[in-house]
Amino acid sequence: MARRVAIVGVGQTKHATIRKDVNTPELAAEAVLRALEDAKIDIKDIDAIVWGSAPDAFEGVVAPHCWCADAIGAIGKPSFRIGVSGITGGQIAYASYYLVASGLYDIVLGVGLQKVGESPDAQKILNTVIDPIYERIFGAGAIHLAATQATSYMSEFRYDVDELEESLAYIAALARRNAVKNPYAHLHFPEDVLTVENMLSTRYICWPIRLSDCCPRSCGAGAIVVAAEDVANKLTDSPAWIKAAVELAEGYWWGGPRIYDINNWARWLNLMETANKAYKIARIDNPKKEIQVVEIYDAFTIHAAMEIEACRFCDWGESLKLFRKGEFDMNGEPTYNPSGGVLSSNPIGASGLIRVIEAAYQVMGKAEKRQVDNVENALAHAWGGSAQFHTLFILGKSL
Amino acid sequence: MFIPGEWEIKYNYSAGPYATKFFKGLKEKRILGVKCPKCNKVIVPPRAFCDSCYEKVSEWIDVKDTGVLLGFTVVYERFEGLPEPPYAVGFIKLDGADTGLMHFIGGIDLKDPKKIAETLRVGIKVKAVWAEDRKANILDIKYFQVVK
Repeated sequence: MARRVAIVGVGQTKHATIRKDVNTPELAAEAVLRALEDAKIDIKDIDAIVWGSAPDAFEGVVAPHCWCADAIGAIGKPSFRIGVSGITGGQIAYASYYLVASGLYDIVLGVGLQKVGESPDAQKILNTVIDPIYERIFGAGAIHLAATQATSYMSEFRYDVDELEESLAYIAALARRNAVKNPYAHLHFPEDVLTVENMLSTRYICWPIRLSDCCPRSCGAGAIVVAAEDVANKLTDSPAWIKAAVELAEGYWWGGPRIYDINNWARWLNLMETANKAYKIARIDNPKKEIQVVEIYDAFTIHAAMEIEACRFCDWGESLKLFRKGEFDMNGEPTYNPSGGVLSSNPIGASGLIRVIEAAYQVMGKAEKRQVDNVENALAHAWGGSAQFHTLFILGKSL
Repeated sequence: MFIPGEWEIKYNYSAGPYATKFFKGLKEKRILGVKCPKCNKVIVPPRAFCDSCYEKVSEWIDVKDTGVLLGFTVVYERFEGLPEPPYAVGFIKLDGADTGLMHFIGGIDLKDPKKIAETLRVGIKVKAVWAEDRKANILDIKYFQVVK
């Protein structure tokens, strides 16, 4: 039987294209010190550390956990490294949870980092994630993948391209409007420019995905402190209880054969499977009624739509219409990414962890200007690889 | 201040016996897949085992050089070291196969994004255009073109 675990402290850095003011270890330390301060503990209170970033080519340093060991406070402690593309941050949270739930350690620190902006072209690096035997030559990267999902979605749910693009533009504007209220967010546009029309005026990157549909290249870091039930209750009156933590892998080959989403990229079936497992563990029967806020990994606008559907907040193919009705705006059912999400900040190896951090702020009541009303449960999601891995957490005010 | 840096690293990736046989087939204008003994799915491009059953595969099958487009995108942005835009890339389910093969979609005018929805859509039929000078690699098929 797993022990009960809570998040007792969180911290993140300001995210920006370039964080010229700090080097890589200093950036990591910035997030760690904030998380320790939030948990009101000292580094000596930490039993073990989980840290991650990926891919290493962003920083141009192989195995950067060596360079960063001091900065994350790992000296004299067991420390573990996670590095699995976009889901790195989600797996850092998952592994941190697991180390405490298993009974091995009482307090674990999870740290995620990326300095995407230190190299000029993220897609060149993301292309190196692709299999070099059959597929890399076609230039695919994350944007190509999202765009292929978008054309599949368009076909499956019979959207014409204008209707699809206008709906995605609504999501693009909404995410960046939310980001204005988040002091850590990378993108801070003046609110009056965040219109559907302006989003639609940005250039195509990979048709039908426009620049406004894409996340930025960010430098940033995040950290969480997780603790066993008895320790958590001593440390804080407002822990974020981890009611469910689930991770699921799907096959690499996007063309299949896969277990869950065989030749059907319009429905993120492996995410639905992940969400269903989490809902069962957290005893959530009706996610729309029981979860007030989601922090989902929306590296591209189409992902927000597909994730809302796969997490069963509406039927397949219905989310775009609901987004445009304002269903998922601030204090909606549920509120979608009040932080601005990955669409507003994407330090890749930290981004999945930042979803957990933001969901924890909401449950703890610490989200300040982006606080959603009456949050009992929050959902945090990350995906990575070839639309391949998902982590999903349900955080709650009570167990 | 910034300290400049650069990575220049060369590799020789081992293709393995399955990809090697597939590439040699392409040189002869044959597209080879493998059939899973458990789920009977024909996997193209071939791998040593079926991903969903975790079964070792050994039966080789010829599939056709025609198929349907499962999903695609048209790339307009220039990325360092990646193909020159605009270009279309997608997944093709070849006739006789159960999986999607990633490849270029060519032979169409991609300059005007407004016309893509008229030209390309999921489910259309495509056919391989073979290179004249084939070298046993993935580009022995130059691209797939839309069948009128």
